[in-house]
Amino acid sequence: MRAALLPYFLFTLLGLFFNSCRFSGFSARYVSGDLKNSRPVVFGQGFEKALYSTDLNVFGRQITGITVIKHDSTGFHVAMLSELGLKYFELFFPANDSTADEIRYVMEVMNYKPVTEGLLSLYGLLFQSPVYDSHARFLMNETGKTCLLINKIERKQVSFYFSSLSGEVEELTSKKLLKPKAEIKLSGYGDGYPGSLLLFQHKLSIQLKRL
Amino acid sequence: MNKFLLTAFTLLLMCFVPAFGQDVSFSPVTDVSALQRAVRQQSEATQTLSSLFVQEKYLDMLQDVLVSNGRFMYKKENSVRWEYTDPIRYTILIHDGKFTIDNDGKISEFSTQSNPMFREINKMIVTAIRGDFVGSPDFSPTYFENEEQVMARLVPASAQVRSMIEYIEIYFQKSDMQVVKVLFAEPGGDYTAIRFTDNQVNREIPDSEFLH
Repeated sequence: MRAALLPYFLFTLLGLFFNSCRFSGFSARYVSGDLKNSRPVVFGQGFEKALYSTDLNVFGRQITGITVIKHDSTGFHVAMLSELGLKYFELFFPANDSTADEIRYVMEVMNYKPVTEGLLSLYGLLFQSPVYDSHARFLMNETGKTCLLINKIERKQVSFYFSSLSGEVEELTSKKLLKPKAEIKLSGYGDGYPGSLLLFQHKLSIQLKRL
Repeated sequence: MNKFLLTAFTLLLMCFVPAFGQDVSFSPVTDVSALQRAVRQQSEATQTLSSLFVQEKYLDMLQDVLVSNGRFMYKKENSVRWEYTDPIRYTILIHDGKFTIDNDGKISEFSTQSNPMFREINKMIVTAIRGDFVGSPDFSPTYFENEEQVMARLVPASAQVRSMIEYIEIYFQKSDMQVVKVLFAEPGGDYTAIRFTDNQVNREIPDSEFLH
C-alpha cells in the first residue's frame, strides 16, 4: 500500500517544487535582446548619504527615529537614532564579499538574536549586489516594463524586480529553506536612491521615508 | 617666491584655524560647594523656561553632524515640551506623569512609570535643564570652569543608563547660571550636543502647551 502511494507522493513533491520556481506573469520568452543588458539599481553610482524618518516595528513594539545610510569605498553603513539623538543600532555591510556583515552597536534593550539577525538579513538584502553568473535567471513580464533577476547566493534565492527602463528596483525578496522570507518594497526614486522603503521579515518591519 | 610665501602663509594659517573653533579649555572648579549653591539657587528660582535649540548629532561613522532645530519649554515641577521642527516634525510632551509623542500627527501616549527607558530619558532631560543634579543619587558629578562658563559632567550611576549614555555635560553661563548647552556622550565616540538660545526664564507658560 505504501509503495503504491510513493509515486503520488513524489509527484506532489515535484509539483510543489515546480510551483515554487514559478514567478507569476514573468517568463524568459518576453525578454528581448536589448533588455538583457538592464541592471537592477537601488543606490545609484555616486550615492553617498541618505536620511530617512523611520518606523521600526519589532515583535509588536514600535520605535521611531531617523535612519542614516552612508556609502563609501569600504561599504554601506546604517545607523538608526532616536529623535533625541540616541543611537539604537549601527550596522556595517562591507563592499568586500569575503568579509562578514557586522553589527557595530546595538542598544542593550534591542540586543536579542532574532532582532539583530533580522536587521542584518533585511539590510543585507537591501545592499545585495546582483550576480550575473551561470545560475542567474533573467525574466520579464508581458508588458516589458518589469524585469526579474533571480540569483542563488549562499543557499538563498534572491529576486530583484526592477524597471526595464531605469533599472530602479521595485521589490527585493530573499528566500532560504526553513528561514522566514525577507521582502523589501521600494519606490519614489530621486537623486539616485529610493525615497520610500518597506522592509519586512517575520515579526520585524521597517518603514523608511526620505527626509 | 611669491607662490612659496603664499603656500607657507596658508600652511601657517591652517595650523591656527582649528584652535579658533574649539571650546575654551576648562579647568576643575576649586570651590565646588559655592557652585552647587549657585546651581541650586538658580534651579529653585526657575519656575518656567522656554528657549530655542539646535541639536547636533555627531556620528563617528558619518564623520559629520546631523542638525535638528526646535523649541523647548519647561514648567515646574515636571512639565516639558520638546518640539523638533526641522528636519522632522516631532514633539515630546511630558506632563502629569505621562509621555505623549506627536510624530508628525501620529499620537502615542506612555506612562513614564511603566516604561523604564522613557523614565530614564525623562529624568535626564529634566535634570539637565533644571540643574537639580546636585545631591542626586542618579549621577556622580564633577565640575569644571573657564572665564565664561561652568560645566558639570555627570556620570550616570546605573550601568544600564551608562550603556546608552557614558556621561552628560551641562554648560551654564556664569553671568546668570542659565543652561546654554547640554552634551550627551555615548559609548564609542558619538555624541549629541544641544545648544539653547533665546532663553526666557519665568515667562508665563499655560499648561495647554504641555497637553496634546
